[in-house]
Amino acid sequence: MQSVHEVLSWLVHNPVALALVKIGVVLGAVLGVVPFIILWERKLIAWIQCRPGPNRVGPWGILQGIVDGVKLFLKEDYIPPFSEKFLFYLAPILVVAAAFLNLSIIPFGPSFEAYGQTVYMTITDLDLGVLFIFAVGGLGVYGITIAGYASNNKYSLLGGLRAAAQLISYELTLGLGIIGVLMIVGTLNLREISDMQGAGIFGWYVWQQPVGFLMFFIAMFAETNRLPFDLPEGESELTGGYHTEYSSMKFALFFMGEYVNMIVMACLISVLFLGGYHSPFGTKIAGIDLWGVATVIAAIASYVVAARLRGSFGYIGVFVLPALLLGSFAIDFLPPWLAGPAWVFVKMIVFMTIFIWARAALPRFRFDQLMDFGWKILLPIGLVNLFGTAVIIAVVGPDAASWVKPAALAVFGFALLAVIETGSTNWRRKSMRAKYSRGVKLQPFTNKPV
Amino acid sequence: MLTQIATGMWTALKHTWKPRVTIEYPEVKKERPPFFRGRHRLQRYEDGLERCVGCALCAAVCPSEAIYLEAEENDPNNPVSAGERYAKVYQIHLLRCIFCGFCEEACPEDAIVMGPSYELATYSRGALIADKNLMVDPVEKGFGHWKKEERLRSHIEPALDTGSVKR
Repeated sequence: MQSVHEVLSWLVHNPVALALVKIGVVLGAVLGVVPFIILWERKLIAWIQCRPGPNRVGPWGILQGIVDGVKLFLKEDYIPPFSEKFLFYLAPILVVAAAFLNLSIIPFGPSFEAYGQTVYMTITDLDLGVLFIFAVGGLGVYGITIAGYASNNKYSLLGGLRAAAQLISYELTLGLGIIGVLMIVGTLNLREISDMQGAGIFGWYVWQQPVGFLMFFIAMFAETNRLPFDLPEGESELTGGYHTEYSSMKFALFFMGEYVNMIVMACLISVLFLGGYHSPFGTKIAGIDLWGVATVIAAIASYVVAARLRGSFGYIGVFVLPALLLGSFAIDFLPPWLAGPAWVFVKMIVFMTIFIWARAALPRFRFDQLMDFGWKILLPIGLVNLFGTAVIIAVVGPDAASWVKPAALAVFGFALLAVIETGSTNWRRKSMRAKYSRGVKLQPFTNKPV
Repeated sequence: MLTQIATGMWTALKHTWKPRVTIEYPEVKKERPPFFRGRHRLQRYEDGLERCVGCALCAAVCPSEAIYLEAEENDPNNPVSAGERYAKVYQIHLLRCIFCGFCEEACPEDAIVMGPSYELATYSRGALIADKNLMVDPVEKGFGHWKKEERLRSHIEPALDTGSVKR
């Protein structure tokens, strides 16, 4: 027992060794989770399409992801004859490296004291965490462009260039979504941003910056090349895009890089807007935990609805959603160094489900529609949000009561959201009217009468 | 726009709790209709005599020339079939057969019928030349439980069955 303490104490006081151990743990966890996320994606998309999904390999298809990995490993590693060899090898490495580097700043849990030293549950507690994401995300763009160029294939080149253009356009939206939160918090350190949302669900920044949340949410899809923004890799458009010529392990690296990117983005949005590793329970208004009550009501309601549709769910399926909702209370009873990662995991799974759901439900953007959307619609909205947030923060000032600033920001944010919604619906109604009635002509993009 | 996107996504999600339309073969097999044209069967009479008399009308009508037939005189003491001849060698090359059912329609003895068996995959081409011993019904099966006319018209409702019209 004594020697274990000695080893741990040495570990805690030795930052390099500690970082290596943390890297091992995080890498192991993420690489272990990716096959099951691949399986969950195929399963959920299948269910939305009224079919069962992979169910041959293990019970419920559990081993499918691992088997996919083995298959990719054993495939023939083909290099197209006239490609640029060095760049061909380099591209997947850049993509995967950028994706994994992003993992190093995500806080997975609260910091704790051990052997007289504060141990953070982040691989590196960078004070400029948010900036690091943008810097490293740029490396990912390099990887995709180089992959498209080095393949000696016109389709890949087009796919790579389109992906590069899309990624750099939506990095602006990403930044504008985050800036509102940064102005409220005043620091770039992701752990501190999480900590300032520790008061339960009503302290989360999604209520104070709903427009920022929406913009980060949309840019998240564009940054990971995920439907509705997946033109660079859409199979029916470009036969595979920038990773057409890749096979075996290199393709597995691209594939894994995409999923790790999704995991990173999901963790980021939960850190910035949804409280990170903090639990949503805990805000008490007049002594009652409203979110807890809401969860219990949701559990009962989902059981009732599922029981009415019993035929589709089976005798066990009716209990799954209520059990999950009620079980989320149980996470809070774990020790804090376990509850933190558990909440990060739960929030990540929720966002992965939303990613997968959007892929199954939405059609793809055309490339010019994509660029229009990023530059002409999201950028102005982001600037308006930025300006409004800055004005409110300046006007409220540091001396007001602690509820004034969040309330004012929430009012502004939701008002802007309502304006966006009505404006876009009116635009769509006008364009539909022009399309379906004679003699009505409108200008192409702004839909103003000619 | 946001509410419309959300409505669209909810409509898609509703399908997760609707029943799946997939039939999980091979644990669950789809029911075939009674006139399904599967692998051929050579039927027998109730007393065990084969119906096939080796007339080779099926071989003549087959569009793919998939049937090979050698006839032999029946031994009067030990008849195999109910007529004068029987088919000594009867082979159908299942890889040439197009499963059209003309042989079944041409047979005057109601001997060859197309049965319900469709799981015919093998690992070698030789195994797909169906021999007589594969196709002939076992003795205890006896009388083929579908007469040809009944089989071919079983999907027509009784009210529409004109009865006297030959196919």
